[in-house]
Amino acid sequence: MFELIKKFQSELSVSGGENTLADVIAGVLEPAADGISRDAMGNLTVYKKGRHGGKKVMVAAHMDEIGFVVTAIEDSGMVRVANIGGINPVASSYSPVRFENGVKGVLVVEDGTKLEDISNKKLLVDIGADNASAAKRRVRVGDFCACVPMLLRLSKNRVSSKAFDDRLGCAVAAYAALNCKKPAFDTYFVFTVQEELGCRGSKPAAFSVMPDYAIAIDVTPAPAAGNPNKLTVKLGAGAALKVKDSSVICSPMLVDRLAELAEEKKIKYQYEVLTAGGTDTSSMQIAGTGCHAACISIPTRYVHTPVETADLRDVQACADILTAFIAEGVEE
Amino acid sequence: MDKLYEIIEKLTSVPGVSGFEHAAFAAVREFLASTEIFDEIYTTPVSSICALMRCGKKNAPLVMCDAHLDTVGFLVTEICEGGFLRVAPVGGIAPKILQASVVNIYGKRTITGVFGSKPPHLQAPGEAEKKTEISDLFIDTGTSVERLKEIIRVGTPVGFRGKTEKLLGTRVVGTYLDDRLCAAATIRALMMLDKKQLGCDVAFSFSAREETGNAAATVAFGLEPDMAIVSDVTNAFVPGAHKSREGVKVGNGVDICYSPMTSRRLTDLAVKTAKENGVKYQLSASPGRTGTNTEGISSARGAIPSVLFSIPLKNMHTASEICDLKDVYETARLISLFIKETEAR
Repeated sequence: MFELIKKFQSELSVSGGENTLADVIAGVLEPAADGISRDAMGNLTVYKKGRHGGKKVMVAAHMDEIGFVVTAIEDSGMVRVANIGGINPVASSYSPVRFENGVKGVLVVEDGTKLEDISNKKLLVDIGADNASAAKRRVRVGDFCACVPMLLRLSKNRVSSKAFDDRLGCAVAAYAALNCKKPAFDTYFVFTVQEELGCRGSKPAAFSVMPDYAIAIDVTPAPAAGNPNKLTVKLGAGAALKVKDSSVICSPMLVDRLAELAEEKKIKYQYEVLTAGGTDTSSMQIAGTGCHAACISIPTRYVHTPVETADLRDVQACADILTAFIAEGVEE
Repeated sequence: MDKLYEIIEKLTSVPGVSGFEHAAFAAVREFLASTEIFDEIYTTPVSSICALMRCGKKNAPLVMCDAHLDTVGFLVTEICEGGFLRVAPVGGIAPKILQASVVNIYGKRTITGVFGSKPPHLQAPGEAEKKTEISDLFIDTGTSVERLKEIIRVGTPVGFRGKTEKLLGTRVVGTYLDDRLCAAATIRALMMLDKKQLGCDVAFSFSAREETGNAAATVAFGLEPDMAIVSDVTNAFVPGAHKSREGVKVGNGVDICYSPMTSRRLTDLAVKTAKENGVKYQLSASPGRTGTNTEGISSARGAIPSVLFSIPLKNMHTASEICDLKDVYETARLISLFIKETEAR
């Protein structure tokens, strides 16, 4: 599991530019797949044939991460960027960033900005260019960049990185695809694009799969010190079975089934009620005639910062529940 | 109207917090079957109930009549020492209506709870003026946390407890009138029709998750109807409300809504139908998405021409919603007449 996490988090995969990561994931899952395809938006689908025909399961984990896109290059050679997805400007500023073409930079705030005035509009990237023409030789308007990957092992089980949202989900889905030799139903592991921009990739993906059962794997905010937002999940307390977020109320039948499997296999789990945030769960639930949709969430602290922090035992618990569901399915 | 009231009483007695509509399946299906007007009743994976009325003619067009099954409510977020619960809202609920109200907690079995309220004697000066958030409130269950944990968990749904009752005249107060009223109006409308005389099939979609999304779109996707009649409640004018609502009053009949989501051609035709048949109606205009299932249904598949009929309601999203039975009856009449009017087109 840790090897998968390491491999996936080291790629740059800003929403709309997920191809490199898709190549990596496809490479890892190729030996276990009965079919691999990509659609026009870039969604990567790894198909595994099931024991029983008829029913279809879709698993979704998103490949994209939040980041920045170049909007202008200023005379000074500084690079003006706009956020892609929900950037926390305070958390992201004064961090090293990397462009898709390998150019390095540091994300900084306009000189003279008061602490309380820091916003996405005040962010610039310094790529070490003396003037506009020097900068333009290295980046152009439309190029993506994101924080430089770094994976910290804080303790035996606690790890910290950028883009755990949703590389952890990708690792969990990949783990299940690799470890479940004989799925109950035809299973489509879809590594989706552009989730951070409003669950865009999963919409057409769900429409083309038209699943009977859908499970998203994504992170959910876990509290650190204090709990001002009344979050229901805790780091280290196991896989979080989502009941609700602001985009979806999960299928009670499917949530019960996942809890039942966790009880049977003695996998640690908890329930999640989130009053904000959205996931690919919602697009799968209402694609076409609709389906039973649920989400296995990975409790993660400091979501959407360069130091997202998770507990490896929780990640493994998510993977074990997903693997059990894929292997055993559900009877209605 | 007595028949109509009976249906309203029946439908409002069934729980159905948004996302947990399956709790209503058995009772609603049984009731729909008892009307003996439907040829097929089924439920969908996203928890909607669909009932089909077939005219028996080949290649008949299909009219979808939608009302939503789900209600606002809460989900348990924390089970605290002393038998208290914290909850998050499902759908739009004003915190200020909640203190000291009684709720049903739909755990392994249904138990009673009461939103806690600090008596005025114990409040600090100025405390009563402070804004309350739902996350600040707690539900008192009067039992131990150990006992509670056997019955409920994080994510257990909670709903208002209330009863549908007649006020003086034709006014009715009740819980879950949003949107069971419209379901009652639709069922009553279909009872008025003789399906063998119809030139179209009719699908009654009692759809899920309106308060939290637009899942009716999935029903429309499956049905592929030729047109849709959506009905929902609308906020009636009350003293102090914005001037734009002045035109919508309880007791003034069915509200026919013009909006970017609705078909102007069909809406014009609905107004004409109401006029010609003496149906009491009022007009309203909604410049946006209407806040109803019309949005999801009208844009399903290759777009489905839709009309929106609304029943004026006071105290929406509380345990004491108020409507006028006459408005519900006029809505039923209009739905019924409109199905006959449009079948040939």
